[in-house]
Amino acid sequence: MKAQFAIEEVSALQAAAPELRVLDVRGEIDTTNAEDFEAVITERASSGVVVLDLTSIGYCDSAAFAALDRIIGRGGVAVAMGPENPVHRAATLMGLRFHDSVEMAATALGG
Amino acid sequence: MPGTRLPPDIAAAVALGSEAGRTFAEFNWDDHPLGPVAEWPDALRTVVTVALASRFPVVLWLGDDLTMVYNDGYIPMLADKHPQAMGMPGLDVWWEIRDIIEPMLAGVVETGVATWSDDLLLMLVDRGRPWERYFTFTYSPIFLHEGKVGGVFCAVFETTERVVGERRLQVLNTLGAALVDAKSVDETLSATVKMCAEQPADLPFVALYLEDGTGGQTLRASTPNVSVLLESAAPSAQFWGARAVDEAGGRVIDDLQERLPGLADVWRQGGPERALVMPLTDPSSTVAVGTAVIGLNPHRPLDDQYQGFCRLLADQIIAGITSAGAYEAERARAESLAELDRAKTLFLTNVSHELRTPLTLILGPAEDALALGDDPELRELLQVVARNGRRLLRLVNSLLDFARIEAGRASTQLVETDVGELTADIASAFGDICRRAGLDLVIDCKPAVGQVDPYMWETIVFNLLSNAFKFTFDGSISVQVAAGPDGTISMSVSDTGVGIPEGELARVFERFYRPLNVEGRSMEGSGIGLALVQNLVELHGGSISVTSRPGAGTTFTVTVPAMSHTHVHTAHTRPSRARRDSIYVTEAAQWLEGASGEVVGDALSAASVDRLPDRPIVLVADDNTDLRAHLERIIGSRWSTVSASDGQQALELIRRIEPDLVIADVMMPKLDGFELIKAIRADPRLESIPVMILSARAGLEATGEGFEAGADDYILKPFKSTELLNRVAARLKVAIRDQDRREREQLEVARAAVLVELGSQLSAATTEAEIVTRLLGPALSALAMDAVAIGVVQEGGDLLRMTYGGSLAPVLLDLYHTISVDAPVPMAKAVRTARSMVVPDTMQLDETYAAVVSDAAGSVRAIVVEPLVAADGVVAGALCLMWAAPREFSDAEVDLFKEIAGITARALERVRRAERDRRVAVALQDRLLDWGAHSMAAAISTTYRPASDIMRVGGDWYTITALGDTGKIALSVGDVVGHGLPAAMVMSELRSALAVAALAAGQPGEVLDLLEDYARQVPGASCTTAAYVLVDPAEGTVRYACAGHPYPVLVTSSGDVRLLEDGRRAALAVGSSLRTDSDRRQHVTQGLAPLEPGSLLVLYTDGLIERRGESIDSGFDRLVDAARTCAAKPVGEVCAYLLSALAGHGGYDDDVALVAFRPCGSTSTSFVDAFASQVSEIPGVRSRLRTWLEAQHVDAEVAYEVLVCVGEAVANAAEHGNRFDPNKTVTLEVFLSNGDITATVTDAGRWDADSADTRRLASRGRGLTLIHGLCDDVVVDRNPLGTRVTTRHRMGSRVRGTA
Repeated sequence: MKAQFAIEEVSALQAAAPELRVLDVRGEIDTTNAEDFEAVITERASSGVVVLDLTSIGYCDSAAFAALDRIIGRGGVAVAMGPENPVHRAATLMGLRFHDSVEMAATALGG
Repeated sequence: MPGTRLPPDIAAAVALGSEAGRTFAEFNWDDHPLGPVAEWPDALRTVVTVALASRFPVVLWLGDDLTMVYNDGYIPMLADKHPQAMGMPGLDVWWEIRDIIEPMLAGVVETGVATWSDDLLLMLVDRGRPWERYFTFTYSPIFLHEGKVGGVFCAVFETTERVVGERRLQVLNTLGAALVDAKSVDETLSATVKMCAEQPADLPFVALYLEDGTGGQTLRASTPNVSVLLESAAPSAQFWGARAVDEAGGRVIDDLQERLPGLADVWRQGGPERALVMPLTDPSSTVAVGTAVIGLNPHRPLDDQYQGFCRLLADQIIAGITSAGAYEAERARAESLAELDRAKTLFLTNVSHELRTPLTLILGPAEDALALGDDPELRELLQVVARNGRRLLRLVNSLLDFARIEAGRASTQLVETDVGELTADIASAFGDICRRAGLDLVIDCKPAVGQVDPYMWETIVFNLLSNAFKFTFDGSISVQVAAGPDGTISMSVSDTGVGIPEGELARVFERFYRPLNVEGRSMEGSGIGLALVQNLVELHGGSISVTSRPGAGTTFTVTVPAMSHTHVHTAHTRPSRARRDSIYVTEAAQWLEGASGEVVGDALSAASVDRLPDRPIVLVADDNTDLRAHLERIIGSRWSTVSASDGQQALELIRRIEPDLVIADVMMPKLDGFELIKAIRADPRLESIPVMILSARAGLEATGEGFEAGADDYILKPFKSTELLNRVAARLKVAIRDQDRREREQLEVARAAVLVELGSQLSAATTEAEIVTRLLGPALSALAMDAVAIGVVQEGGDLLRMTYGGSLAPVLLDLYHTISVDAPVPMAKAVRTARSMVVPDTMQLDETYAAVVSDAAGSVRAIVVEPLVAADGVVAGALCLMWAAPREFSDAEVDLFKEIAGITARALERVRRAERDRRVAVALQDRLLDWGAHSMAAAISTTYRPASDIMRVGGDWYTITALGDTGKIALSVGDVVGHGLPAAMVMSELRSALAVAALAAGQPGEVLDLLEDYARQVPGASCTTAAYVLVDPAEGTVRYACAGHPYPVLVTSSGDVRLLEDGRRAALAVGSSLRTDSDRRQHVTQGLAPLEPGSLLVLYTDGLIERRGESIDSGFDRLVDAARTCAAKPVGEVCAYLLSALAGHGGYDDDVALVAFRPCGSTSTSFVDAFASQVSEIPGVRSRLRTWLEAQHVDAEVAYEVLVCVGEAVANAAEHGNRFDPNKTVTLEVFLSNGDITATVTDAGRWDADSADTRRLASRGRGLTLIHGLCDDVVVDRNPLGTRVTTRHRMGSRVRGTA
């Protein structure tokens, strides 16, 4: 059995930055599906810059953070996560490069 | 459908589902001589029904051709003959034992009389080879209704294991007994092979090879059947490739007969085809000293038991060799001592004779000169010469007397005399001196006429009196003589002096014995006085004894026969008044003067000594008045002198005056020369004062001792005045230069002291952790290390197991709890290269070490790594000393590190040896104990802990059996009486019987009934206790029964403790009568208790609660108290906690087996889950745990943290720990108490990941970082059986209330 995640493209910033896509990620990412997640996002990011909105993510473990590190490392992807999410503290602990809001993430990418 | 043709009774038995039943049913009986089963006589059908339904092995021989029908229990005996044997003529099946059983069967058929065979040897063929097997069985007739015997019923029980086990135990016992008397290695070897030759069943042949000093091993003994063959074919162990033998189990030679042509001819048939080559390893040094080659019985499998037997045999042989070797060495030593004694005597005789001539020539002229001269100064000098000359003469005479007696050349000149009067007269010579010393001399000599040699008697009395005077400072000395009732005369000399310590009493009559640490008036004396007295008394046919109490006084009692049968001079000698001048008295008087010499010291206050710059002060310490005066005369001519008459006084003066040089005699009362030096050197103010030691004790050894004690110079008596002056002058001149040297020495001494202290600290360490702690202790505090690590090379050699101490980041300990030997880590390199590394700043290390340097940078910046080399030269591990900040290391420190590593390596070797012994004991038990089914229905932890005395390992067991698909779990613990191999064997039999009974029977009472029946068959099983608990998690109950076993304990999740006290019965196999069925039904009692979710069940053996001298009730009380705190502890911790909480002062006297069990399920305060050790289980576990956490209203953030910690720990367990066995179980126990959540993940793996694999290390590092970062506290407990990770999460204000 694998953990489940869902990705939905939202159009919040479409007007401000038409070339930028925002992906809302929900569900759980852990050692059982982190590689799948990485593959999906890498594929989605291949055609443009992407903000991953983890504000509503339910669970991330160390494998998830490792996958996010690699995704960010390849460029073109920024991560947003609000401080209200329980995962926030762990992400900070892991040294994940993320932004507190989708807007800030987009700004970082747009620079 | 063959079954439809079976009559209903047999069909019912077949329907029970046994394999034999099916074979029976499928057999085509219609074409068989017995005909269709339905037509068989009733009697035959009944026994077939009984047999098929029975669990006991049964075989039936039916009809005229003895057709074979059997049940499942019998199949193992048939081995590969099943299923063809069903329906065959039985004697054709058992063709190989037909000769034995045919007459027995025929007898039963003809006469109708049953047979009974006990442990009968039957060589049964299996896989084409006859095997030695033993059976207990009975043949009883099956009567048809007309009274004719229609068949034979045979109930049979295989007893091979027991018979062979007992036989082997007997061999070991016999060998042990035979070796006790062996006094040499040769005797040991020949006794061994002689005994082995009498045991051809297990030991067809034995050959023993021992180290021959050239690096090889030579054949030293073998059983006679092969000795000729081996002496020519295999004279050296090399023949067997003995060098390649690995330590543990020995090596099997499979091609024995090809390798040794001619061997097969020794046996007419059935000779050994294989041999076991076992190393003979000295347990104290683990060095192989020889090899044992043991021929193997071709009719027995080489199973664990056989191999274990051979190992024990080899151990016994090596123990015999070791102790015999020690005996030989001891005897050789005794002989050489006797030889030395003879040489000493001869030497004394010669020397004494040689001395007397020049002495006479000194004394004579000196006395003449005294008579002539008038000059008072000259007279004083001459008196010194004469007095000491006479003293020397006496000493020489004593020595000569002594030597004569020793050589057997002395004879007594017995004179009939009043011994009382003679003694009183001799003793009175001491009257004056005793008065001066303030002692009462009590002379109580009754008339006692007897025959003594007056000269010798005088020597006896004077020696005893002189001795008493020397050691008595106040009180009295009394001399008594009385005639004894039995024709003896006894003379005793008692004093109220310092006494003799009890331990020294036995030695006072030894030659040259000098009391140690006993205060006397003088240290002068040759040490032969009392030995001489004893010899003289024995020459009189008498005896001497001594009694003493330290501080109270000593009494010597001489008893001699009044009348001798030898020739007696009748002359009655009058004691001469010249005795008043006896040299003994003169000498004693000098001791008194010496003591009054304190005046010298007292007169000298610090102020009174003029410290003139050009006139250094020399302190002279000697207890001999004459010598002291002599020294003062010589030294005083050039320097100021101060003198002291004993060491204590000297020390006081030295402290007061701080002289420039000290000259001290070695032997002085109160404080001898060496002790004086020690005291001076220990005082920082005085330590640089040069000390010259004066001694008469010549020889390199004595000189060495002097320098070793710290003397600056060592002057031998006699010495010339000029020589003494020169040496004192030289010594004073270089005093300044010496001071530098001494300072350096001081450093050396300090360093040595540090190492000695460290050595003694480490020698008491029993674990690697203790070694580490002690390295960080006060001994090395000067080095100010921040942390220490020890890495020990694990079996297999590719991994270092690490032990850390000091301040280090916790995550570092987890990341590097093991290090691959190939890893780019300094400690691994030290192990690979056997070289040390000194790193003043880790940042300077090259790129290779970048990973570990950055991991450790927070707490480590300077390191020293030393390889730990064992005595055999093998690198056993590495030591790492760590500092948090960079620092420089001096050359002296670098040297010191090497010494520290040496001491650590020795300590580590000791620890590992002790650990290995313990591991062997536990491994023995582990092999015997079942680790149990890894049930998915509960969290289970088991512990077996051997008694403090590891040889007592043995009788405890536990079992955990999942009962098929019912979800029920059977737990048992038990305890067989006794210890060691026999108990272990019984335990093993009972345990497997119990496991079978658990599967077969339903209820605990019945299981123990079956076990009881079985135990009655097993010798040594009597009085075994057992507890059996059947857990039904679905129903939430436990059913249980206890046979003489302490109560299992049930702890509810709220901490209520209940002892399971029902279902009691007597211990197993007690009493001799077999019980009837009605008895049995009465015994089928069992207890029933509810098992709520979250409850904890604890089973244990009595070792846990029993303590010597205490009632069992207080043991239960302690257990109940301890159990109360276990409600919220994970099962692994429960075991560890109970073991430590209930241990007595000296650990456990008895083994302890312990099972802690907590069923899966959840309550408002606990959550228990068990699942397969696979990554794919993680999402499911997380979901269940999340649901529970939400139900308990745990704050989302805390919940997430708990989930992540648990998830990471499970991932670690699944990915690393259990990667070799995905069927292992991981258990999770979460407790909510006092606002804390504790989550424990337990697995059966070791996380022994290879740290060199950097990718995996990196990902695991992330997981550990998360765990450490997201909980308030984390404890990782790793042991060989698994890993337990516990994280604690404080909810504090984050909890949202419990609506």
